[in-house]
Amino acid sequence: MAHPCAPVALAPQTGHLVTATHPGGLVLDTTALAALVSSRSVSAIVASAPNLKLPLYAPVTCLDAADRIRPGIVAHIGRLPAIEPLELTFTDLLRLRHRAPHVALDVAHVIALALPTPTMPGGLAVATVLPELYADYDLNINPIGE
Amino acid sequence: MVYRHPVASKMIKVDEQTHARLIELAAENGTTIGGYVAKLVTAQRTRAEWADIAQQTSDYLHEQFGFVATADEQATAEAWLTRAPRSRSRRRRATS
Repeated sequence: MAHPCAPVALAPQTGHLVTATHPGGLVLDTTALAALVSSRSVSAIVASAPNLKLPLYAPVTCLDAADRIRPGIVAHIGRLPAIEPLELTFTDLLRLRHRAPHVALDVAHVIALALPTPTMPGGLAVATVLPELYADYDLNINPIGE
Repeated sequence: MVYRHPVASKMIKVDEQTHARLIELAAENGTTIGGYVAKLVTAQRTRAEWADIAQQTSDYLHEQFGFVATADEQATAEAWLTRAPRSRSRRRRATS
């Protein structure tokens, strides 16, 4: 998916990121992305994050799942430069199959991105409307609405 | 890759320790020192770029959804975005 409004060339080949680069960034899961239109809290978070120089990451698997819940939302998110789509890489796939083999692909992708890595020892925090989705995993969770 | 026109390049000076580290990191990332430095700098945004992103995001939310954050909503969102420590999600399991 192209990122037509993004003023920064993040990845020349695709226009979006393969890996998260900012340890303070937040991963928006399917529930957070699907709530963008209906929740003023989520809209305020998206509008405020750039003021704090915090990137918001949207895994492509979550974008697909959110668009199934709210058809058309993915096109809007693609035009919001505050939200950076993250591809599903082969490394992510190996991690999610190893760490979360029995959960839905979008949830497993979030888990794979949020777990600590050598380059991101603290992992990435997850912004979600349903924190219980990640209750069995040792992740940093930022529940939306609290 | 064959360039039809000369590609402008600039030199930068680094100390020996930084140079050695750049060689190792570039090799581990399958690129040259120049390629690795380019990767590092494109991963960061300038203040002006962040300001553009903030403006474009606010404009789009307003145009498409009529959303304009109130001062309270913005303060709440910024507090939420910066709050620490964030909760860990793992449940405590009973031990037998």
